[in-house]
Amino acid sequence: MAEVRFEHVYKLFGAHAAVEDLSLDIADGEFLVLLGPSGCGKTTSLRMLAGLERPTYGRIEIGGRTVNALPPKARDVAMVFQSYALFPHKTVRGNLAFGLKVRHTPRPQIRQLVEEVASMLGLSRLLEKRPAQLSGGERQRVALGRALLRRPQVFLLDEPLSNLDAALRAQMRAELIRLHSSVNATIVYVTHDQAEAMTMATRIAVMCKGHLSQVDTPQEIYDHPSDLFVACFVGLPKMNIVRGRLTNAQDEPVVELLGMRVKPDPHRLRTPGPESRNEILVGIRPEDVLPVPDNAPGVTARVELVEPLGSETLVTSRIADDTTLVARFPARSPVVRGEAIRLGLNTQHLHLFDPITDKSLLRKVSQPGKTLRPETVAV
Amino acid sequence: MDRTAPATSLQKIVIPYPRVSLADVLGNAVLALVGVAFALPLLWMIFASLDKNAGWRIRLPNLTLENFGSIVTAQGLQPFVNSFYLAAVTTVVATALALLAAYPLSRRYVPGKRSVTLLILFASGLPVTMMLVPIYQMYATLHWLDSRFTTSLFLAATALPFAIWLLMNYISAVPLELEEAAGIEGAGTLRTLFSVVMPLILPGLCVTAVYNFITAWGAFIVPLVLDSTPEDQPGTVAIYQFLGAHGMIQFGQLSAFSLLFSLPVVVLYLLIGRSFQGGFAFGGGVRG
Repeated sequence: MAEVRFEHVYKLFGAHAAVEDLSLDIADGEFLVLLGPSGCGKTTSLRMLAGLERPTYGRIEIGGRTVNALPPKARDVAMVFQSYALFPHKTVRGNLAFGLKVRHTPRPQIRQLVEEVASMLGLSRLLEKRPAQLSGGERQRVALGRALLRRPQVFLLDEPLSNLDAALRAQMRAELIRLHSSVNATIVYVTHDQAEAMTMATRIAVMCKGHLSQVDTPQEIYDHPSDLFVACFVGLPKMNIVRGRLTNAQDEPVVELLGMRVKPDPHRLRTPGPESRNEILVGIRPEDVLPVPDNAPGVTARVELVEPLGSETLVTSRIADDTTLVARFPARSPVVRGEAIRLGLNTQHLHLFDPITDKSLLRKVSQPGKTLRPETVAV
Repeated sequence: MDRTAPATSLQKIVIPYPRVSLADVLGNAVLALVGVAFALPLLWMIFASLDKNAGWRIRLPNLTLENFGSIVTAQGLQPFVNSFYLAAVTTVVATALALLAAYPLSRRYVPGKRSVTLLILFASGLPVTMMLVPIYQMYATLHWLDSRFTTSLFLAATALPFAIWLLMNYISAVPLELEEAAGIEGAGTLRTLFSVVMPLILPGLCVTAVYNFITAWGAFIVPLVLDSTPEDQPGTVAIYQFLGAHGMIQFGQLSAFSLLFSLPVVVLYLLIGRSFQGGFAFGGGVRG
């Protein structure tokens, strides 16, 4: 059993709180990604789990045992460092076998296990080389192999792909996903790359400035971010945020934005705090901003930037009140900088936020089956 | 000028010679003078060692090898053996203990670490002569006098502070992540020290060992005081035998002995120099 639990964990460095009140349950076999910008406390949390830092307050449990006082070697975890931390004076074989040798595994068994893992990761012909002679991807696989050989309760990975080039990163992502399903281990993975998080995680825990903002499945995080930070951090290009007003028309709440009116799902709407005076922030993902014909409801905008990605085109345009909107246009769209276009919104997936607390104004409601009830409906 | 046309006439190319300034000349002259001041005694030593009638003047030698001959005998080489024994034991003890002390001091959280480190650094500056009288008394009480082994123990003790400081510097150059990785893999403190840290500071360890050896090789007053047995005299003390009574100095043998005695130190200095050029390569272990 290898569930992991953080219970009200704090880590203070002097007066600075790197991690504040982190409470997180990780189920056995989960691939949990700690996602956030630098300085949000994700690496510190991972190191506390590994035993390289001690929590100032709170409790950490692995497999039901409280491990606060246990040194790393007693916790049965394996860690892959961002810089791989391979022993430069040992060969690949020596690096892989280190943990086994420390545990007094008999020599023939070490040999067999090392060769198994090496062939699984494609390192068989590199066994006698030193880390200095390997490429970045190969070193990363050795670090991974060293962790795999330990058969730990929990795998800890600290931004292992950040030093690889883009193509290799995509390849390693697929390998890690495959590894997770074949080894069926609990993996805690730290990254600042939201694409990695979205593709690999069973659940993502988004952290900001030491706090846990939201922990949920990737799709939920994308579709129902709990606050402005999560909404803007996950999803590339960034979500568009515009100002809107929440008013009442015939006892039903209505959101006005960009000259349009939208009705949010009343079952899910939370009222904003009194300080906001009915001004709210509305989030629109770039794929929900669409070119529409001139007579359709929408706004007129002047194109400022056209970024053709090949598979789609990102168009940044400015509307009358000086807000910019980024839209995903289909590939090969004949849009030109300086052109005037008309943009409409997919009103089914608008996100509403309180401008003071930054929290989402739409409660999550469990939805039966796969039918997605839209959060907002055009009026 | 048409470069494609063959050179039909040889043109004299005048390259102006860079002008030599007065500062250059004076500087080089002073350096030359200093160099000569150092070289001359060495020259005398070499000549005198090969000279049958060596005096205190530099003169062309009356070539003979009997000065060396009288030293390279079983009895004449005893001081060298003693020096080697003292230096070897001192080196082994001091380097091993310094490694064990330097590792926790440079890594682990030890309460009062900073004060201990500073204390050690200052201790390396303590003059040995200050400690000799109480040490002599201590040794006398323990019946440790007149033994090469116990003398080298004290030499090791005096060599420890600087050796610890040297090794602490080398150890702190090893990336902490390697030790963290070793810790997660299950290695304890000693295992991490010997399997991970020591191989990576091997050049530094050698430098420390050689430094200890050279220092102990030149130890004079400590063996003089703590060990009065004539057979145990190291080279530094034994050299006095050539300064006979009534001012009669056997220059020839003196210089031959000095030459032979300096040889190991010169060789070792050359060796350390090479290891510095090798540099420290943690290649591939940690990125960046």
